[in-house]
Amino acid sequence: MHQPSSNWLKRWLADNRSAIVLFRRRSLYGWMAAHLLFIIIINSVSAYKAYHEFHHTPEESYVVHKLTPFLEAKAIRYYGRYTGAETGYGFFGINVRSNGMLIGECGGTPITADFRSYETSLRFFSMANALTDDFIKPDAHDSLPGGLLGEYNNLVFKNIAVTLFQQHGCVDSTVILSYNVLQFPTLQAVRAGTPKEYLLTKLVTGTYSLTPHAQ
Amino acid sequence: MLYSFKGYIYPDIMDTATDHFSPTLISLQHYVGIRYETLLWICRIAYPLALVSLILGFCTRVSAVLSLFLQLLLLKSIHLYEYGVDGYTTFALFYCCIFPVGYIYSVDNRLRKFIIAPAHDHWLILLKAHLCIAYFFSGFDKVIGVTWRNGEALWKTLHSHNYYSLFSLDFLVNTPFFLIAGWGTIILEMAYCIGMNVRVTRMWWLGAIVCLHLFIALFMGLFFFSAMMILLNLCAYYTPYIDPERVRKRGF
Repeated sequence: MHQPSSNWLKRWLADNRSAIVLFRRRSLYGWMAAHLLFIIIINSVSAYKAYHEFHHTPEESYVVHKLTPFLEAKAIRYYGRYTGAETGYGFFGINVRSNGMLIGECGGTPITADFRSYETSLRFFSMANALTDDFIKPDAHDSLPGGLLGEYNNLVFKNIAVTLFQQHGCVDSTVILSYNVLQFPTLQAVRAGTPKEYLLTKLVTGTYSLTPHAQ
Repeated sequence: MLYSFKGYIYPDIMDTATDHFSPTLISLQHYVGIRYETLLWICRIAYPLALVSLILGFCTRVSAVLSLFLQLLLLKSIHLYEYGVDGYTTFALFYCCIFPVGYIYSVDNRLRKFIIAPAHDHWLILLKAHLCIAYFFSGFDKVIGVTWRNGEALWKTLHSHNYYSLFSLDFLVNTPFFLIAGWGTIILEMAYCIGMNVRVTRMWWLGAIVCLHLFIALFMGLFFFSAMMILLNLCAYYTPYIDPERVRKRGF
């Protein structure tokens, strides 16, 4: 019953074989060019924004202003997510982030986060370092709608305090969690004779009253 | 510690701030209707299995798609803990989905005996171009900041308390090591496109890039990141020199 249409399709495919191959090749090359252009645009905009944020200068570029809604369009975000093209590659640039350190205190005893693997600790410290920027520059880049980043960070902060409290079997009903920046003297300072010692500066301190779990 | 409700940041709190352009364990849990811990357990088993299957080249395309999905699922569920290696892993897995990766050194090839491997030159160009762009912007973001140009950034990086270091390089403080290494990194990255694509310099540049990533692994402790970058570089600029016919004749 389907024989005639199947034959017609086969004949059409055979007749247009070279055109189909050409179309496929051109589509593929077109997509590849668009894909690479997308990565270039993402990274150019990212570098531009990072530069102005670092130097505290206003972003006045007309091109970036026009590109931003395009890059934030839903379809583009989905595309960037599933192809991995949304990633910016400016690691450790423009400047290296300051080190953040979360230190808890329970009954006067300092407590820190413990990890089972090096990779986990690396990820935890990456998160802590990312918080540094938010605490140092609270108005710089609010990634959450409605300017809720500060509130969200407080929630994260409280969550870490609770976990520290539970993990260390704290018997006190109050746990203090402080966010500290760990600084090391600059290369120039060390060359000028400054001792090579870390300096811990407390940025934020949260005091949380908790009820311990029944044993 | 990263995924469970016993971790430092609870999954539902992390989920609150995700953009939901890809599912998270919490959002998927609501969709499939099973307990969070059960879903996490399934993913923890499925992801390594999918990756091993992809490495072996068994049901390569399906394994690659499944690996990409699980990578994004697991990664975006803990988006606060993301760092550099994750973006590279995602795009590498995406390329495994579309590249003809299972045609030669694979279980699929042993089972199905592919006679002709599809043309891969254009895919290789895509991977090379992607790496050139990534390295260029990595170098560009460094050169626009003064601390990379005077060696301070490298000094600061090496004194991050949370990074592993094979041994301290403080004894080099009064030498131009940090200045040269900073500029060396910038030049290697920004001129990657030229150095890797000119036949005469390719192997030297590849060697230097591998050394750079070994340095990152040994003195910054970014082991996964370094391994991934070395692997991508070898895939793009070393494996094209391997003759598949010669390997096939040896009996694989």
